[in-house]
Amino acid sequence: MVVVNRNGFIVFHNNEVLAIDNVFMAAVAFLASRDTGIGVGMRKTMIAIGLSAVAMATPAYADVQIGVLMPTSGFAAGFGLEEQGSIDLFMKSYSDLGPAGKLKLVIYDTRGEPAQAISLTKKLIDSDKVTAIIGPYLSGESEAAFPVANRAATPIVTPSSAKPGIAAANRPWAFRFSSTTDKTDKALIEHWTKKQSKPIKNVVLFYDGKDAVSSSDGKTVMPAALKAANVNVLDAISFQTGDVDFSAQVTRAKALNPDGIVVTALFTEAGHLVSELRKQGMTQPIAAGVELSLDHKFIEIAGKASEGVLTAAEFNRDSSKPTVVQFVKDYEAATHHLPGNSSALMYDTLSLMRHCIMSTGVVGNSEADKVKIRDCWANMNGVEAPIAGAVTINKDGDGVRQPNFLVVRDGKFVVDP
Amino acid sequence: MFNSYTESLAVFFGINVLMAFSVYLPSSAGLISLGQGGFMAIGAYTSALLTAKDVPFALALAAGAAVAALIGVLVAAPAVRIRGIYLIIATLGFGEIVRILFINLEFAGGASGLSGIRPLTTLWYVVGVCFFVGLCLWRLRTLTLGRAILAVHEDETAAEAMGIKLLQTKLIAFGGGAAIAGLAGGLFAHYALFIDPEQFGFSRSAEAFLFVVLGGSGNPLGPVIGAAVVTLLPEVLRFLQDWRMSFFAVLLIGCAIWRPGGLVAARPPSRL
Amino acid sequence: MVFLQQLINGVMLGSTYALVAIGYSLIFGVLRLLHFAHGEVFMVGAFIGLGAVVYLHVGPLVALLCAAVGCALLGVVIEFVAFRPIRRRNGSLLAPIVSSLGVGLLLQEVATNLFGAEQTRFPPQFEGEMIRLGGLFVTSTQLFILGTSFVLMLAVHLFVSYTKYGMAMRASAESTDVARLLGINVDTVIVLTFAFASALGGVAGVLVGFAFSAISPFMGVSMSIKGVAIMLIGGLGSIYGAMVGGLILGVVEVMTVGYLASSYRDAFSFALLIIMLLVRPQGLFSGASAAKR
Repeated sequence: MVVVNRNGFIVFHNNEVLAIDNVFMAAVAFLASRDTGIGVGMRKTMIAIGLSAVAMATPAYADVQIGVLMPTSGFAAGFGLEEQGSIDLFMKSYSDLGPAGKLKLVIYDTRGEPAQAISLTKKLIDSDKVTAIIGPYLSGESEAAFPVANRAATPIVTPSSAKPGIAAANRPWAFRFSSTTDKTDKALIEHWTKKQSKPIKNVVLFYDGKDAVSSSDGKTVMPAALKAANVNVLDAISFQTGDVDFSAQVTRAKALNPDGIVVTALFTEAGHLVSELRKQGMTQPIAAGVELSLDHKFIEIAGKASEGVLTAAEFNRDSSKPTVVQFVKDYEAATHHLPGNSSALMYDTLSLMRHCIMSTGVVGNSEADKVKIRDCWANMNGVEAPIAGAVTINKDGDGVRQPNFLVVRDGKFVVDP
Repeated sequence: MFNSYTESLAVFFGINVLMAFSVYLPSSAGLISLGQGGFMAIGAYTSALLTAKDVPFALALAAGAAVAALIGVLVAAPAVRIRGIYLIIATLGFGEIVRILFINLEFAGGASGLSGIRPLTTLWYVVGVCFFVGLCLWRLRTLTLGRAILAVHEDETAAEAMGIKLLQTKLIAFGGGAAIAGLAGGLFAHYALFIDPEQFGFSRSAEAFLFVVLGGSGNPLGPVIGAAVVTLLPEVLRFLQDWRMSFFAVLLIGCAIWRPGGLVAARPPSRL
Repeated sequence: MVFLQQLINGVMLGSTYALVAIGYSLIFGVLRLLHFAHGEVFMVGAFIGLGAVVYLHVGPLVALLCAAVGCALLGVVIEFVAFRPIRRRNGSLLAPIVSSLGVGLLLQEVATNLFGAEQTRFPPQFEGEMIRLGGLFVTSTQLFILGTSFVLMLAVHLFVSYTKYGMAMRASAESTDVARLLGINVDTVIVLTFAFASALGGVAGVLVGFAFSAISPFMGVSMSIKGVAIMLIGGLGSIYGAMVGGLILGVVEVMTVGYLASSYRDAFSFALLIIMLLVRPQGLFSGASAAKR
């Protein structure tokens, strides 16, 4: 249940058996609590068990413990594995905090499920006594986990969730490293319409109606961005996460003969959609909104059809920036895979978390340390992250950065100036 | 007191027990449902939308249960004519339709879900509701209505000949099950604080169904045991890591073969 | 023209549904069993086809054959391990459902562990060439799928109508007891049904893999539920009903997306399911091979 992995940090394979004992103990204690005498005895036993769990996780001197929530199984496991690669890489070089001892990560698998995210956030805060939490991955999970951390006065930073408003609703303890879609979408549409030789007056908007971020993008964020750029939306056509047949949607769009096509979707669905668009002979320029579509797997899925698709992103694997080149090289050497967007987001979030621990003099896992980390994130202004560059956190707790515009050329994302 | 993590596990376990009860009650009248997730969704959304308008929690929970029961009766009225596997299919279809309905209800958040629900569910609330429902179900077995339900389960024709109102009995059993699922949904919504239609889909319904079939539908204890096994076993099996769900699946098949009547064998209430 | 194109899209989608639903219906017809793991057999078929193409460098037809044989074997194993012991013990109506849910979960988990949770795809050359017919378009892969589906449907028809085993299958679907009295070895028929149904499911998996270049351990989940809807629309246990029901569902889905919204897509199929249950529980096709209760 507790595994010290090769880099010397502790990995819990999720709700370990001890926790289950605690549930049974809890049930017994509840039943017994009618008879107060027995109830107290039971509670003592339980506290003893709880303490032994903490004792196993906490070494002799005060290290700084950070919890990590990510999906390493279930439908979103792919994202979690990308994040895991960055964690391994980061901890190999940066687990030493100097006078504060070592950085320890307690990692749990959420399976991408909001209910699991709630339980595990509580577990990290109450059982593992972490100073801060990194995660969860999906917006739906963050929506469930943020209120828990906020009420327990523990800083929580999602590397990736992009749906607008979820950090703002959980002030002052919740943050996100990623910037929200409303900011990137607006910049993307401005850039896209400016670059076209033929003016774009009418577009068809495709969106994923099931995925939380993509659907809020497709229904409100993107239409607002298009309106601001004086572009008319002929039709907004939805599909559902997991769809593979996009023929009906594309046939419907083709009949409208738009000047351009805008897509907000996760990379898998975006890939299949773009592929079908080109297959049915629609050659109009395409802008893909949600940042997650900027994954190299998008190019793998869409193949040749991905050529010329424009998107906004924080991570460009083919960038020539030295820190990025180094990161990509190290990541590939360590994992034998190329890093994705999720890897980059996690690596930067870890770097900034370490920055906050070091720069504010966090020494352990006390309430004061939590406040220090919170204030560091809240006041972050132009702090350099290895991959994304200068990071600022706004008053809503959201990351603010100038996104890169990337376009697919010869099977690669290249910067579109 | 135990910490908030164990508390959250206990809360989710309690909600699962309620879901198990919601399958158990109609099943004791021979009405098997693979669509209880739909009623759970109805209860969850109804109560969450009400507490957002500052309706007291207890009232909102009751309203969620009532709406679920009402819809349950409306669905069941024509559906109880069909039996066995056909009813299972009909309830499966119903569960899917409810999920799709909520995806399309924009005022309820649509596919993105409903967030910012007030944290009103406490462990004591869940435990209280579980005990209340459990006691009602236990008591029911010795009441006239409970015996009528059992008679309907055993032999519909004979039950009718004995003067039992077939349709009425079935509707009460099905509506009652729907109400319990609605309660579970209301409690879930005010604990998870974020609900979306996907959380109440086929896998939720199938899970509730498994609680009862695995635990045994002879008495209300069976579903509780079933819920405990299905909820806790995958957690206990975590040491198997990636293979734990596969092992769990093998155990399911094993149970279906060697314990087809459930882990807790049926015991007729007359012997109590 | 747009309508016609959408109709083509619908028939393409529907023909793959039909293949899955035929298998579902065969099993339901003989065993009165909702085989919730059938969608997972379909998924395994897709992976077998992919493996054959990637590692053995075979063509599409051989890949289909590999999937058919592999899935037939899988179907027989499932019958022997998960269902036969229950029948031997005279298990309840519900035990086989638990067992099939267990098999489905098992196949899904094993596939996730072996192949990863992410989508994979057939090499791009399997996407085929675009063919234009006036303003309409189809791809050569789509025509291949349509052709294969209809050939297989015809084969199923000939098999159940004119062969000894096919007739035994129909007799068993009518009543296992009577079939036994007539001297039919029902156990053999059941094994054969599983093999046949699973082979069709496996072929459908490969065809869907060709058509949409998206193969994942989770691709069977919605198929399992859709299969139930199709079976009911067409008439429980009726193989012709499954064929027509599959095509109807494909067209209804595409038209919903084309003219309404994708979020309503499944609503129509399940509303249709419930209406059929209430109004005409015997389904559209209630011929000799349809289930009667």
